[in-house]
Amino acid sequence: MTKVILMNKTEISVNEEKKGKQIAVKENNITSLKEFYQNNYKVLNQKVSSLPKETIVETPIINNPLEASGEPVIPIEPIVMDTPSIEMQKESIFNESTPIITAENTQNKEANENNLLNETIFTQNNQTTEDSGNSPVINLIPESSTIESAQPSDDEMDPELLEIKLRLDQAIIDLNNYKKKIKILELEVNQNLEKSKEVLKDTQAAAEIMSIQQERQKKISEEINNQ
Amino acid sequence: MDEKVILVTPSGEKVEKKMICMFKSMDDDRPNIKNIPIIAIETGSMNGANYVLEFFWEQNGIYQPIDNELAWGETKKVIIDIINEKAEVEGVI
Repeated sequence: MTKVILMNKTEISVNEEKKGKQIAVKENNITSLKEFYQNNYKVLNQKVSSLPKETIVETPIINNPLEASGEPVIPIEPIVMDTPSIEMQKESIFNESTPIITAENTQNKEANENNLLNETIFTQNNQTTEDSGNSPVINLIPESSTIESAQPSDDEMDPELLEIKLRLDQAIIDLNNYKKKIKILELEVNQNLEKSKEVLKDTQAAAEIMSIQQERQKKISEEINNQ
Repeated sequence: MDEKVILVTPSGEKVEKKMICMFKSMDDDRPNIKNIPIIAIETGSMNGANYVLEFFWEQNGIYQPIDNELAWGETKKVIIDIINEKAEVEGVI
């Protein structure tokens, strides 16, 4: 969709009496143009004029133990973010193939913000072209009027820091996995060593038995020869 | 009710015209006219069965004919989009 901002001036300065660029428009199209301009301008102007001219930002109330009258004031509980434990975070990261949770949240947040801007009415302070006194200039910036939390969530954290944090978490998980693998390998090595020792014992025992049998046969043959 | 605008020449002469539309394009893919005020004025003349519109754009605070061909092409595209109801109004000044 083509995006435009409508303007309205009662008087404009032209450089010369030269004609501007011209195009010929059919009657129904010129009607469309007029209606687009007039209807949208009126509607938006009404909405703009109905909005408050000043934005009020509520500041957080600081805990004052005493009111001005001297009576104690019930302290306001600090706002606590429900952040998952480190183990849950590691598990969630471990279960993901790539650490894209925060990137998605950031993208979603940006998309939501863009949608909000598109749906909200705002005006720009066109200081370069506005003639003083010709038309009122209203600056309206849609702002959130409440402050929800003092603690930054992952979404509000610096992206670079968040990336470092995710990499660190992933490195810790990888390290733990490697440690587990090493332990398993050690166990296997020990088991194989034990098996080898048993096999060696069996072999040695078998060799002894064979040598004993050979000696017996030798004696028997000697006795037979003597007879 | 028709919107009116007064054109003021350097000599001080004032001429009242019918304003059809006055806008600024905010598209990034139209860089030659982005954020530049453009006004469409009805000349009052006809070309066959068609109405002739005249376009000016603001340069250094003064409105003048759109002498840049790229800008003129982009302006026509915006007008076509508006006529075809493919334009979105972001705000009003």
